[in-house]
Amino acid sequence: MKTKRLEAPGGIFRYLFLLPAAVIYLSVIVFPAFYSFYLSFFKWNGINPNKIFVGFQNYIQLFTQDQVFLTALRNNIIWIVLTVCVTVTISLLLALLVNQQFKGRTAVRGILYFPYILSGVMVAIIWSWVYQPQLGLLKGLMDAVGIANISTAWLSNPSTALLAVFFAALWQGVGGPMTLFLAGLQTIPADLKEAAFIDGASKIQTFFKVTLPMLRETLVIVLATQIIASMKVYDVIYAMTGGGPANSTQTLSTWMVSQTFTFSNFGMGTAISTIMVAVMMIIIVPYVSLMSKE
Amino acid sequence: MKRLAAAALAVLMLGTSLAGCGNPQPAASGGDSSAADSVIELTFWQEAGRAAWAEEVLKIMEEKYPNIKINMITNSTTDQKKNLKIAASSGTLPDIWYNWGGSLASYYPENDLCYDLTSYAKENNWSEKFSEQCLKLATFDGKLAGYPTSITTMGVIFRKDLLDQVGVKVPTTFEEFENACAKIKEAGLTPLALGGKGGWHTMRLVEILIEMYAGSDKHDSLNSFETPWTDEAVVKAFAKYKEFVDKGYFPDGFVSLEPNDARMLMYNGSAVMTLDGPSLLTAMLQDGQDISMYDYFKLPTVGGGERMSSFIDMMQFRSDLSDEKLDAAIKFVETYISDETIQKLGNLVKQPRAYKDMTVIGEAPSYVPNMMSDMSKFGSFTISDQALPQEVVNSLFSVQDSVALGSMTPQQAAQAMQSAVDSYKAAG
Repeated sequence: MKTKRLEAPGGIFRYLFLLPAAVIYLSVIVFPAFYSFYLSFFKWNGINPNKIFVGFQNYIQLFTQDQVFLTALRNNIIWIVLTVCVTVTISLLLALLVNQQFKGRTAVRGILYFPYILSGVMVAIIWSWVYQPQLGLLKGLMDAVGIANISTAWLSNPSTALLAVFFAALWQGVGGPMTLFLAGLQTIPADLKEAAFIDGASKIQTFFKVTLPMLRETLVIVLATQIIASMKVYDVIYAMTGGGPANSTQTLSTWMVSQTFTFSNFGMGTAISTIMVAVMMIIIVPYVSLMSKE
Repeated sequence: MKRLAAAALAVLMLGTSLAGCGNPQPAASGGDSSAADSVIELTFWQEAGRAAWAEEVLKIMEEKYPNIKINMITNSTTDQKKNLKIAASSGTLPDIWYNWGGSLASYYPENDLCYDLTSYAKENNWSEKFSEQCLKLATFDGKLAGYPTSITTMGVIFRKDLLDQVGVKVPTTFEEFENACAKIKEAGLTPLALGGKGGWHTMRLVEILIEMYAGSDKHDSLNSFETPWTDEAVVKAFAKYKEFVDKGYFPDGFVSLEPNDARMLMYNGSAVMTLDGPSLLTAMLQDGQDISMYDYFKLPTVGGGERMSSFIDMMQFRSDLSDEKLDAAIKFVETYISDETIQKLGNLVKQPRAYKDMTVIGEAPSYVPNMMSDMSKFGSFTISDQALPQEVVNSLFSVQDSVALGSMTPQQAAQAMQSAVDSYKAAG
């Protein structure tokens, strides 16, 4: 009888099974997150037992006096736009390509996916050498094809540095969303495309009227994860440029780490992390809720 | 509505993961971890450039002191600085860690995180054993914050064959140095192999220019913020730096060039000089270079401040080390720089030790003692990235890049430095 009562739908006992996971989640993620938010209202060096309450001063200082923070915020927004427009588009095109039947398809899939398993630091080292202005592969290639005159020190020029780092990140990152799109494409019934073909639809029309709508759920996941990853981008920038030249490639993550652990400004660092979350919420919540309603 | 709530919850979970502003905490033992079977275990964090040296020392320690076990973790230069701060804020500092001096080390005594060796030094007559200058550089607010191990000074290290090839003699005035750079450039070579990534390598030239134009006293007062950075000497230093950039005295794209990669340009014969210290020899030997091809001269800043940039290396200990552990830690560091060890390590160690005579043990090219002798003769100032607070250092690096890239005039650069100083002061 007792067992039956415990298993009854709606019985409170079932929530106990959630307890271990909830305790871990609350103590490892939720508490530190809210504690970070709390710390953002203090001036604190991370050690001193006396934290000085400064209210919103850290936030005000970031937006009114910290030019590097504003550069970092702008760079994150650029990175998000590039990711949404370039990474997602290219990964979708590649998924469409490797979804076709052709000889060596498995090998091509593997090659395209391979960079995704590399660490960001390793990718940064590889691409730093590609871009190396004296001995780099890119310079060598440009010399070989006779366009050395447009070769530049890609990472030294603030107007090209962020794009150069983004290209390295694109090379690495395209495999992940490509795989998700490929999985999505393989769930689309072939007869839908055949029906469109019989009705006289062109390949482009079929893509926009059949394939893309059927990929909507995959697209939501890909875009959400890519935007979040763009907001957190750190390792490839840290290892390729260290945020330079002249702080022109700083992102919120790299600046947050500098503020927190190089300058020991924990209040400022946690304020940046709070702003990162807020920016992400502003972008993701309306997007996800809109897509969910549709 | 349920979907919206689920979506918002999912985003919150991801968001909160991000907001937890804590990096993975490197593991380290506490200061009072128990010793098992009378074996004293110590954790030790070493900077990667000195890891080979430390690894050999650990082997010697195993033979000499079998009851002391040192667990070493190696970090890159940047990670050593950052990971120590992370460990400090989470109470997981190792028992012993390598550190540089100045503002990189001062955080630990300021926050009572490292052992104050003042009494220990007094009891053991360190004033008779160590160079006064080294002890001074390791002391902050009256606390001796570490065991000084070596001292470094910066000079121009150059390829003798390339300088001969170009027909340039070792310069004795700054004007001659500039002429030498011009001749080297005309010969199709890069005069100065400096890499701007991270800022500290090119800083070595900028700080010498400031020393030259400001003079020693004003340079010190700039670093202590008594003289504003808008001073004419700073403007002149940035202007000269920009002139060198415009004349192509640095490698192409040097602003983002890794300092280690800049060294390669000397190896392959496309660059002639760099600004470095005796530790470059160790790196060159590890890179398989013939160090007899290289020589040194002091960058001649005749007529202005003539001191040389310098810094010390030291080992810091956790503030809560037991007497037993402190004794073991001291034994380790003494072994680390003992005559016996350094003779055994041969090519691995070419840095002058922090002891009174500041000598290099074993074979070293004559220019190492010459560098040290020049430092004694002309005096030294603390290298800028240790003399200034890290926030101001970051601004200096950024300003250097901006001047080099032409996005700031020397006047604007000086003003930006002063703004960084003002912000630092305002933040208290």
